[in-house]
Amino acid sequence: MNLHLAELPDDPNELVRWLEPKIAGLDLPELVAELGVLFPPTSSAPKLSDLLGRHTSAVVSDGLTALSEPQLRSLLEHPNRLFDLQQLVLGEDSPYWHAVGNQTQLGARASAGKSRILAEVHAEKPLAFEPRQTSSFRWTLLSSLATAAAVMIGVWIVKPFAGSQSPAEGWGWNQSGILAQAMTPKEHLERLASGSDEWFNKKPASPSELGVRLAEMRRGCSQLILGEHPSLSKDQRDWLVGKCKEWAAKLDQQLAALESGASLEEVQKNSDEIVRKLATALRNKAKEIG
Amino acid sequence: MAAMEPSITTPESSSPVLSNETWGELYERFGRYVLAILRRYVSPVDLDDVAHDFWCHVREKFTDSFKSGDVKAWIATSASRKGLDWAKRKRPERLSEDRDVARGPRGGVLEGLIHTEEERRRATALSNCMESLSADERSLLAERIAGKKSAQIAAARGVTPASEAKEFFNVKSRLQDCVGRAME
Repeated sequence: MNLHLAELPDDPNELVRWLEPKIAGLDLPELVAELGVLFPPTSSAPKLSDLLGRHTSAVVSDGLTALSEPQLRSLLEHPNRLFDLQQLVLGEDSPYWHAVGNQTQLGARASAGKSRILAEVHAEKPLAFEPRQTSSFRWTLLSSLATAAAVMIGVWIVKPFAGSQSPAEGWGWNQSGILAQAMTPKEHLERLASGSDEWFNKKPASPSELGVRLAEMRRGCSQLILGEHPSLSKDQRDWLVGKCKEWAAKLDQQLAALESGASLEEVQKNSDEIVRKLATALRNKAKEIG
Repeated sequence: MAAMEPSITTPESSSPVLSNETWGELYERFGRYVLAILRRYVSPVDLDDVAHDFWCHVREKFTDSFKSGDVKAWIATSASRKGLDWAKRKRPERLSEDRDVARGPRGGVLEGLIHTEEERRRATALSNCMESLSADERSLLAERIAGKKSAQIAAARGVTPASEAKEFFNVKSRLQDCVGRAME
């Protein structure tokens, strides 16, 4: 674990280069927590607009180089204002801060999040159909079915992993009923390992196909994380959920790498390795439980 | 400053669900903004799932919930509310007051600043490790972070700048080691 304060540069130019990725990144709360210990917030703290003065527009368009060193240090002494600053610069459509965000996990994770939802939406497409060129009876019937399907899609989008919902048929961990069947803990984990093997049933031919497949695998992780696993003890379930979160993060990284231009072969190879390892971990745990 | 907002128009249809195009436009414009807001309240490991839930909610509810006005303000308010709800549900059993910097007598003011267990542990570890420093060392750390120059501090302490710099380096190293051990 790194202590951000221990890395804080003395030189004002270096301080800007160090602080900007924190502002446009996801570890700002860690820095704020550390600064809050040294400089606890007070009710008399100046507002962000007071700290930035007439440089507010320049900070949004050109970054923190617009500020003097005392202004930068004042921001550190009022850690709450760092959150305000983050909200200011990310809330504007600033190419400068967009570029800074690209250097951090923020950009990659935002892209991965969008892909994940779109993959889920697209995965449901077979449920929608064209009712034209049908008789009035069939039109009525198909319209009813389409409405029901649309409702199902809406429910799936909003509460995709609610306990009593029946997820749409899918592969791997997205298969209907994979979590619900009564079995021993060992059988349950072996079944999950077998489900993950289905990753290897299809070799995506393009980055977009691989992106969809990764997003589907990732959705399966969420199924496991949020599922009930009635056959497992609390300790076994905690182990499984903890592992699933690690696997989910690794799959997110691969999706982000793919979207950032990494080659199909490289991402496929890394993803295959992740799935092989997780299947092995599940089988080892199953053996351990006996 | 005039904010350049996307002109979000909701389709005239019976379905309240946003079209992919409109939803994608909102996401492109505010995806990072929302992640940053949520991260304030949500641990890194759960962030993607909470953000996913938020954007599914936007897709479903935006047409009904947003009538007119400032899209950015609506997004910010909704994301903050989502994050706070998550933080309240996730809030674990607290450490005893004397060990919890976000609650104890010395650090209660951090209550509104820190929301996740990870940050709470980090702040508590740092606070406890600061206790192991002398008053002079704590003062040195705060002064240097606040921007006071090495030469100024050295002169005030009657030491050479080189000695002051060495002491500052040692203080940071000790804190790093201490916090690292506490967080293991």
